Amino acid sequence: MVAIMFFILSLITIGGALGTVIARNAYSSALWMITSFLGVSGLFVMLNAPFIAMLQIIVYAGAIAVLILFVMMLMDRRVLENKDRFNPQYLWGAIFGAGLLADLLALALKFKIDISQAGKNLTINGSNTKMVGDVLFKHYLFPFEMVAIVLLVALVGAIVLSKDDEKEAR
Amino acid sequence: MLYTMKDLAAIMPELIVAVFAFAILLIDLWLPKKSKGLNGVLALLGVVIAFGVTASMYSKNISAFNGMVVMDKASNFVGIIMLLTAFASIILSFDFIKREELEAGEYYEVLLFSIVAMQALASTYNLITMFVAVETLSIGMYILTGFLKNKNESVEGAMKYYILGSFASSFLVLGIGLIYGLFGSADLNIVKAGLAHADSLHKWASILAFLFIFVGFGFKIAAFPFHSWTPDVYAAAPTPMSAFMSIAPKAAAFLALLRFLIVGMGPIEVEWTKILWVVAVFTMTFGNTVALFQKDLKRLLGYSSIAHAGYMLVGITAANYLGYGSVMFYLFGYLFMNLGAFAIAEFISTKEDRGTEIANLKGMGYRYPLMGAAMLLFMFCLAGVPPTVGFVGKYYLFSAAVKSHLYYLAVIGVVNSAISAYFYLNVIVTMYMKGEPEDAKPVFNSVPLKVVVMLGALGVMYIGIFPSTFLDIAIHSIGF
Repeated sequence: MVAIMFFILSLITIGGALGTVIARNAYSSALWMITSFLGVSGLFVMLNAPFIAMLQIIVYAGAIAVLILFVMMLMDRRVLENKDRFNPQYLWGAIFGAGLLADLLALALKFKIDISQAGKNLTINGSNTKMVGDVLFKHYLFPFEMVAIVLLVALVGAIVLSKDDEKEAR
Repeated sequence: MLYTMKDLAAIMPELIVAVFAFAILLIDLWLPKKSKGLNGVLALLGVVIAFGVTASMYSKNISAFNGMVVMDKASNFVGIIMLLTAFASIILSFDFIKREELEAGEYYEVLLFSIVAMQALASTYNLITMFVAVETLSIGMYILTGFLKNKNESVEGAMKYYILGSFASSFLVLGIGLIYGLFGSADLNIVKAGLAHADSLHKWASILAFLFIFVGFGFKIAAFPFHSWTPDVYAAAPTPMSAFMSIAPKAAAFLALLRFLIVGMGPIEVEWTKILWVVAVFTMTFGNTVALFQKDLKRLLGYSSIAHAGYMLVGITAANYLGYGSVMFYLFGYLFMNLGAFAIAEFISTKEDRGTEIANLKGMGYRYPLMGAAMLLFMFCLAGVPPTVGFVGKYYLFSAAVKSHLYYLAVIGVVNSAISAYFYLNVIVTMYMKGEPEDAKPVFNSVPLKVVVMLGALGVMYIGIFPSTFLDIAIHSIGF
């Protein structure tokens, strides 16, 4: 049963990723990407990591993919259509991709990592999400607060540097 | 696991600076255009209060937030260096941002937030906090570099800094990931315990991790293969910010590097001293030789800051407590000489073009005797001539190298100081012996600027003649 679920989810993930690359239309590329993200989030559920699964859906499938689609909506259609789907570096990409795949397979065969229990060990009262929250807001409270400052500084900086002073003066 | 007041006490200086930064963010909204200068006063007040608190808590030793933050003598010493730098840079900014019509509260706000990040970077043994702090301060520095957004040069410098900086950060996080994967913790004390009896695989992997992390820190301190941003960014940034970023982030990054090397990588000291030996030699030699050909004062100071990072790496390579302490002392002395030199660069700059060419200094020694004399002092100090603080600092750095039997390194360091004397003295020769320029450009007459120059000159002389108190404090600040 678990194996069947895994193969279905893998198929969705890999199929979505392939579709992203192969699709002729940039819009369908983006939609295929969402499919792939959903598959990944299903895989996270199978690893007993529901929190990361939800993050995957909310952040990637929700926010990032929608943002990409928005940007494409604002762009000229002709810019997106009839583009070459592969740039001249595709051979290098393929070689590196194959190398990484071989590396992963070799590691998986050599060490025989058992991931069926992966997320189960990291829980509080059986909840992985609670564990994440506990670690983030207790153990790593200080870096977490610092991250708030990173975001604020980046936001302020983006506004300051992109503000048009000329217009304001008028 | 509940946090108490003790945890807050350990981050008191950070909290004060952050509170003032938020205050500026809010107050700036209500300030009318005429009284934007109040932002600067507010920022200055925050820095002064934080300085007072840091000084009063100097000999405290607190570990807080689950070991994420520590407050010890070293962090407070570097905190004092950074706050003094911030104090002077804010004063230098008063008239500068008025001249450049940049009256925005965000300038001071971003500056204060990057000070918070530097304080956090200087006071942690945890690599994750270090990474977050490095990112925060880098983003602050990118923004401040590009603040003169109507000048193409400034925008270009910020863009270069941003791209190279992100690249270096990715190495840093890769190294931290490796360390975490090897030892199961980002806490340097646990890493040390794990490394002390690690097998050779773990040892070699941690040398690799050290190299990755050193790329990140080496970028911040402008060490040799990662230095290329320095002259461009220093030349492009608003001058008070060039002064600030040539000292404060370096001080914080040097302390973080010391913590990482002494505590985390302590068991493989033999290996990292070899790597640092090479880096120190190349950093010194490169900085000094390229500086020989510079025509612009700010670029010259950029290359000179690379060379000075090399001198300080000599102190770390020595790997004894005299060396670590001399690095702290050198940073403290470097603060006065570099602030002064950048203040002079601001003094001769003009609004229309950069105006910081060394040729513009012609005859300055006679037209502005006081400023000329101060510049003479700063140049002597950077070259390491007694009785200035530059001489004392270099003396202790090289004697630490000799103490660790690194004779070649000490000799290369001394030869480098001799090379550097050429271009520093060239500035003085231009000021006093090249005659008057045909069209003397007006200088930037700003009273706060002159005050900073005078304070810098006073510091350089005073610490140079009576170094013992400061040396004592600096040498004993490293207690880990």
